Amino acid sequence: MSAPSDTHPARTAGDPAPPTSPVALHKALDAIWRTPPGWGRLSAVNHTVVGRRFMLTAFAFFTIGGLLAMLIRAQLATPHSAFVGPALYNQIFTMHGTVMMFLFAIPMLEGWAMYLLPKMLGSRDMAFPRLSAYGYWCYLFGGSILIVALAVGAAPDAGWFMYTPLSSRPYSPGINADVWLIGVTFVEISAISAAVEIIVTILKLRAPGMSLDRMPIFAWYMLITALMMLFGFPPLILGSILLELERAFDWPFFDPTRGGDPLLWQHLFWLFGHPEVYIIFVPAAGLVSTMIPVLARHPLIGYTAIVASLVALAFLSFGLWVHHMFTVGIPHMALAFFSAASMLVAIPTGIQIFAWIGTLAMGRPRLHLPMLYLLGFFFVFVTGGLTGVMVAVVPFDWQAHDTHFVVAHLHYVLIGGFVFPMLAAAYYYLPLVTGRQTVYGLGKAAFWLIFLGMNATFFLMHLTGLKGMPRRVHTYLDAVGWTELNLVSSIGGFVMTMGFALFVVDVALQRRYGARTRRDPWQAETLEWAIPLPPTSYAFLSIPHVDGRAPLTDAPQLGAKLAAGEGYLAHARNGWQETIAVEALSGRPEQIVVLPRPTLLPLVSALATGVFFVSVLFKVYLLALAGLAITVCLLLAWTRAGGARSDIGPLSAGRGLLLPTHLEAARPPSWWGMVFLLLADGTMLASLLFGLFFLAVIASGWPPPAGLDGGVAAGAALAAGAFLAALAGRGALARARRGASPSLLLAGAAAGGVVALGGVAGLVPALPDPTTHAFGAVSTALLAYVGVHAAIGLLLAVYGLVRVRRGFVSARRTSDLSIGSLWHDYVAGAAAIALATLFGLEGMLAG
Amino acid sequence: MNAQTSFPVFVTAGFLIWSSAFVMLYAAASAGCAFGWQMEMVGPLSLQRLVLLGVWSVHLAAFVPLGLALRRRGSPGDRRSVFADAPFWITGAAFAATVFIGVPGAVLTACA
Repeated sequence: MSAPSDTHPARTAGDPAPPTSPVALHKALDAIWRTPPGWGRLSAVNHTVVGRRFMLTAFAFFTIGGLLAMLIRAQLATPHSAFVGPALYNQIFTMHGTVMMFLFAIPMLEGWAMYLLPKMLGSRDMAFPRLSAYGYWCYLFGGSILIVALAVGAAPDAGWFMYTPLSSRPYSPGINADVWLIGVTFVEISAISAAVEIIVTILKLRAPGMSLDRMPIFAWYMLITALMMLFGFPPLILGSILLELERAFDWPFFDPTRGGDPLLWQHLFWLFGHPEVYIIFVPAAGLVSTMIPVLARHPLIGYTAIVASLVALAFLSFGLWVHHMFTVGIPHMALAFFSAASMLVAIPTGIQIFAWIGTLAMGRPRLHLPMLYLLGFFFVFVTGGLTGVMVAVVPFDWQAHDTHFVVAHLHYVLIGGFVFPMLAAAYYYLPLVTGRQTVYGLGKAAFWLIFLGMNATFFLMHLTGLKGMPRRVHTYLDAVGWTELNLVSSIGGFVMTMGFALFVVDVALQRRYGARTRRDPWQAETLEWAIPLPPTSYAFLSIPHVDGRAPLTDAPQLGAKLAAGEGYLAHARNGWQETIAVEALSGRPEQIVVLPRPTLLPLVSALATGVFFVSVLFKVYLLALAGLAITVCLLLAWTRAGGARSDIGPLSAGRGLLLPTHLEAARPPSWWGMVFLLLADGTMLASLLFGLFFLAVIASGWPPPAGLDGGVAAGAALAAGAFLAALAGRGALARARRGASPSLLLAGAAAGGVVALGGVAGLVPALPDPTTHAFGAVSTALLAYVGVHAAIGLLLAVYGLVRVRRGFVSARRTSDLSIGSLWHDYVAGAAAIALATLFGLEGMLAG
Repeated sequence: MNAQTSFPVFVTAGFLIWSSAFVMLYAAASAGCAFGWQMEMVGPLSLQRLVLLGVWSVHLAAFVPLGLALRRRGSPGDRRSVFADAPFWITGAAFAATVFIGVPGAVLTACA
């Protein structure tokens, strides 16, 4: 479905003809940027469309998760309840947590980011629109696997954190746990892709002049969040793969009788799980920091302090994971490290709260509905934060662990820290999304129902927990004294649900019957309010130049000027979707990025990816391999629409500015995308190495009965091949930049890949059986990791050769080779680390 | 490097030191208990305590060159910018966090 104009012509005029009028330019740009109607909607890649889809789908999953919560509260409302049996109850509470964490919270924040960021940054779209669409479809299909399993009674039932050994094959023999592992991993593709996309968009696709310190504060929050996602999700993805390998092939990563350890799962899960809490909270806090200055009519106090606190929070949040494991028997001193970090992390959060309070105190707050929700956020979130400090203290946690006190704490944090800000933002941004004014009657009633219902449900749960009620029990005795508290909690839960239902009705009515609004109804200061409402497909008719942190305060008529074509790129050239990329720190304009048009490729690629995951779920591995191969081919097909067969040269960006296209830039957004993807990839490798060393030091049954059986020559071949590919890849890039042919060196890189794969194949017989001991399992997994990467490197080398032969590479157009070179370098590093670990550990164990 | 171009380095360096300290303290505590370092005495201190104090001290010492480099780095015209101020605040916070995180290794019983 890609339009022919995606393939860039040989040479275009430097200055396109000036638009005849803003209206004519609007029509021309809309024809280029709009999503086709009817079935063509399936080809949407536009950030406004995909962001809205993420949010609506996340809300649909939130509704499902909420209904499951109602079933839980109905079951616990009275003692000896026979409403649902224990087996079904296990599925219900597992799916409630899974849906809310993986299918609601994370995708909702991704949706907000995609919808808002380009508009806030003065860009026309995200950096990789097709990746956004692919991530959305993976999210939808992966989530659907979980929901279908729930509908047929095969949903996961081992708790949302799937602790081993309960989730291991002997104790969960059905498909339920596999559904969780496969479904969640499928969904997490969207999280990693969104993280890469958000980072590159924020760093590169900003309006000219918008240096990092002039960014809207929400962009800082999302930059930090996306970086946390990049490092936080790989341990979970790795853990899920390892557990599925154990369940499907009996590789004993978590089996203590064969050198594994169930605690390894807990470490990998919470290495993701605790940062995840902040990954959910930080974007919501970003929306709070965006709304409060507008509603208080005072600039945000402490912009720099907030940026500093976000950096601190991002690091500290990775030092807390063991505070979910205080009762598993880890030595006290080690617990104290994590307890200390858990207390430290309250400080950066506190700085933000004081900045918000200070802004409110210095301003003249308007008590509109969004502010009401923000006040609700303050009360609920601060309460949750205080109980968080309580459970960070080890002796208290020992008493409260796995009781309803913890359930109450986490709901105060997540509902307070995410749901209330989201509801505030929903009303704040309703005029932007719908183009209609908002009336607050029903919304206020909904707020009070949600606020009172939430506190009735969860405040009392603190007391139920302190009275000793454990989590996840499906019933209880009347005599233990939990009856009244549970009944009131359940009533509160239903009141809260009525509030959410009223919210949905209210939003639907506002969208249908609201009067048209004018541009920037809040007199806000950020660029998303400079566009027409509701947003046009191209967002900005022309792109602004930014001279300060509050562009709309500095120039209240900026929106009208941009709509009159007084900014950059006020033209429709060659049917291209153009936006500007800047130097990451200074905001100096650097390149014109030509973005891809609507295409069905992301949908088809996600369907093929789905074939892979569903085949793995049902253990039809040949079909899984076919699905994987088709997915790889389809992903490579994405590149067919890009590139140019001859040099274009600098083009006019308007206002006298000449810029090269991204095709001729030294570091286009796709190069940055690969850098950040490799950081996530490296985190996965580091997590695997952590697993190996953790087992070697902590697990029983070590040293293993069998180590490596030779393999030195094969290991040397692997190292030599990987380094040959890296050197040849670098050489090919250097030659291409000098205008010489890189073909021979690319063939050398491919040959290096073949040698490396040969080394991997030669090492396989030297490894111990992966089913007899965890050492064999982990070392085989490590080798498989290197092998897969070497195979992709070979593919990239061949791809580079094809691109050279077809004329897509020149001295100016080298991005295909520079991205490949990055990959070859990474593979060489990963191979060296893997080999040093395997042979080094073998030597230590033998010694 | 001026204050702007050095920003990514200085905004992360302090907490990278903290991260390294945290991981190495946890690793040393775990490995020490696994290999019985708390039973081996080196003068008045157990080998376990000595390693933990060593790890902590090395990381605290790493803040000295970082602080000196921060003082030497260029400053943009606008002193009150994120580029100018955030690295100082973040490095200070990271130093305090590194002091705090090492205390358990200095005073608590190792392997109980």
